[in-house]
Amino acid sequence: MKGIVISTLFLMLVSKVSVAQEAMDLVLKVKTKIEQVKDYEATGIMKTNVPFLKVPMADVTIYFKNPDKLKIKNEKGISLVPKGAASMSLSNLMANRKFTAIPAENEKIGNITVKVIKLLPLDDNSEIVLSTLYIDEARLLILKARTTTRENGTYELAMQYGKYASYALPDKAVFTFNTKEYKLPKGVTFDYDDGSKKSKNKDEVKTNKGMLEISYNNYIINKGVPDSVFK
Amino acid sequence: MTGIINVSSLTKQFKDVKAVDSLSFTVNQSDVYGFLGQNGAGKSTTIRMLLTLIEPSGGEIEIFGLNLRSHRKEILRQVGAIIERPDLYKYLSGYENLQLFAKMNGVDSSRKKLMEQLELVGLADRANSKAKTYSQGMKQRLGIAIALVHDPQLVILDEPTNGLDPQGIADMRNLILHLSRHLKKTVVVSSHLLSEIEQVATRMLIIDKGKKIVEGAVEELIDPAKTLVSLEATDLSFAVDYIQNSKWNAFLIKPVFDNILLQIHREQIPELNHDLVYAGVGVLSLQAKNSLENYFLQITAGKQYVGNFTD
Amino acid sequence: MLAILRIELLKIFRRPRTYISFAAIAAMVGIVQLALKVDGISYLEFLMGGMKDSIEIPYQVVLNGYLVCFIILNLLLIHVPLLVALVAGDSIAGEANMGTLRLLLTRPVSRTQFMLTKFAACVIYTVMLLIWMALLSLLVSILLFGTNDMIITRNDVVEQIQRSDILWRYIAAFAYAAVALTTVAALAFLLSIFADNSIGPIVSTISIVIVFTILSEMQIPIYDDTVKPWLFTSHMLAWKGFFYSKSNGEGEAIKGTIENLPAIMRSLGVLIGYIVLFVGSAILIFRKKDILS
Repeated sequence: MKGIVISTLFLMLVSKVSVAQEAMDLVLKVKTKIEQVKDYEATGIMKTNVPFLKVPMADVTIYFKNPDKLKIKNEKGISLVPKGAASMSLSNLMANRKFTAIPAENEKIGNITVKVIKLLPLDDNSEIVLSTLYIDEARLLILKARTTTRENGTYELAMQYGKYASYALPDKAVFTFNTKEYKLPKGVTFDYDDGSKKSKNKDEVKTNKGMLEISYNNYIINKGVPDSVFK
Repeated sequence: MTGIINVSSLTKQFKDVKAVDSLSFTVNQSDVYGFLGQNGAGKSTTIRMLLTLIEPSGGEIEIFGLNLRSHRKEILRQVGAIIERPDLYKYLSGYENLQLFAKMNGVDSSRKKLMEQLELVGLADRANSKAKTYSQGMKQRLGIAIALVHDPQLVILDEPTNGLDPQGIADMRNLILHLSRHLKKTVVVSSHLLSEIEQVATRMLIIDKGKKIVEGAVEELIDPAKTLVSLEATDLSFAVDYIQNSKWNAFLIKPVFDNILLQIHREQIPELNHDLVYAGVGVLSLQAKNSLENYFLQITAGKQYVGNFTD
Repeated sequence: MLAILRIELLKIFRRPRTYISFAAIAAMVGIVQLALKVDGISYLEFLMGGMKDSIEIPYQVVLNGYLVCFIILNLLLIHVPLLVALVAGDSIAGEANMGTLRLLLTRPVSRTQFMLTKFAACVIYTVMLLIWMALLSLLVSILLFGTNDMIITRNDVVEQIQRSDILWRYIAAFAYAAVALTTVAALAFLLSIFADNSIGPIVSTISIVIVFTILSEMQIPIYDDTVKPWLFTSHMLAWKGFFYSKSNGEGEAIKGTIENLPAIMRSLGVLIGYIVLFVGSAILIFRKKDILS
């Protein structure tokens, strides 16, 4: 009897350890796939949806260099890029090896069943408190990543993949983040009151979330990107 | 009787003041029509109504046989005016001022024509100087050129000698006579300088408190039988003594400090002179006083704040 | 009437004081441009301080000719109406003061025609002043600061307009500003008929514009629904509306659109209504006025 209990406990422990190990293995495999891209220069269309911003879609160029340099540039105009957009890089999330992978219940994103794995940094001083990855195991692609930070709240990165899936580079990335309320300094300039704004404001629920969506057209991968671009 | 100007029952009420009260008068072709009255009598108000600067409260004005209210533009094309001192655009030259008003009147504003006009008033050599550099006399002459630039039939002058020196006054007098006698224009001139009116006016109107006192030809209005004569003598007391003991005593008005005043018929002046000399009076001067002034003062008697004669 | 209009324009533009206005605009615009050239970044940091915690702002490119022009127009809100009132307030009162009014009104020109021509000359002056301002504030700013997209800071939202979508908005805004300033000119013109000295109408016009602007901008409920919609100053700012784009509901500005064109048109209608009211009243009163100056 004793033997059966001990064996059962041992098997449970082994299976737990083995499940956790499997999660870590999956994460490492995904990381390896991501890290095959040392740098890229991509063109795309950026849409911004922030409560206090009203900006047009912009043609942008996105530069990336391993492990965590990301720059979004609008060569023809101005782009107001949210702070923390550098977190749009997945490799930034996993640049630090020192984390624990904890599996969670599978979920569905669209029609795809994804493995949910929580990454807990081992470093107590890390800015990131928790990252939750939603991984398409079959394709070794992260479809969504939700990260909670100490200073800047929670942000989320959702990806759709197409022809660059083999590089783990998305066709579309949607970055959701926290914003602070905006107010023009009083008395700076008189605004035109067309009589309609007041009623709008009363009905709208003030949200502190912003969203940045980039639809990528093409990537130039691993051809070298100078550091000067990121200054 | 139809004239160039026919005014009937003209009235102007300003709040509590009736400045012009049922005034009627006629100005005939080629008249030099004098407008006389004390300050505040209603002269300027009447003239401004003729020029459509003030809206009448009642009455009718006809000029050139046309109703002023309904034919304003047509009438004003033939009217030139100087209202008190001539006011010009000081930052424009004399030439530009004249050109401006020529254009407003819709007449020839060519350089040749305008320079001729300036030549006539003696300003051709200062044509390009800014009006602010002109003397008062020069401004007056430019004002005249402006008033005449469109060759009007009727010229209205409201206190045209205000602010002028004796030369300016004489020039204005000559102008009025020139306009009337040579250019055959009809002139209406208002003034409180009676001596000036007397020298130029053919007909006149005296108004007081907005009402007509008298209207008519100058020589008809002034009664020669009441001519005031002023006598200056070497020995005034001797002269007074003689007059008081002679038939001339009845005509004696008042002996004053350095002359004696009598009121006699104009034609008796030579006789008086003869009698004085015969009686041994040393006659320094025997002069008929300003008869129009006398007439005017008599007509408006009761409004005098200073006595007829100074002591 | 054209001949008389030419005369009126000659009077305005031969007068040295007229050029003070043009010089003043050049000075004011120049001062702002110099300040922004030297330290425009600090000004932008202050202006956009409300969002700098959330957004990376490329100040160097944000500070371009289009934005500088917008800043200039905002800063000169009260000043330019003053310069307009200088000439419009003098139009009748100045003539009365010089004594030339009585001379002009004895000419074979109807008082209505006289007034309309005078006002037309004021409008032409106003438009020329605005064109001058447009040249200095837009063209010179573009030469000094280049062009790029324009970032507009409103009370609670920041808008971005693409470079290719800006110029037509400025043309529309300046055209609207011409009507707004003409409203001020019309007010000064009306007040001008009541005075024999232009100081009175000029000061009165500016005082009215200042007081009404304060009332227009104060957020006091008792005024918001009653008085504010009827003040012409509430509608003078509508030129800014040409720089507000429509949104697709997801924070995206739609190129080539205007957020609330009907509101701008309503404001335009109000201003035109005021112009007609002021000028119409001026003409009606002046036709009956006794000229005693």
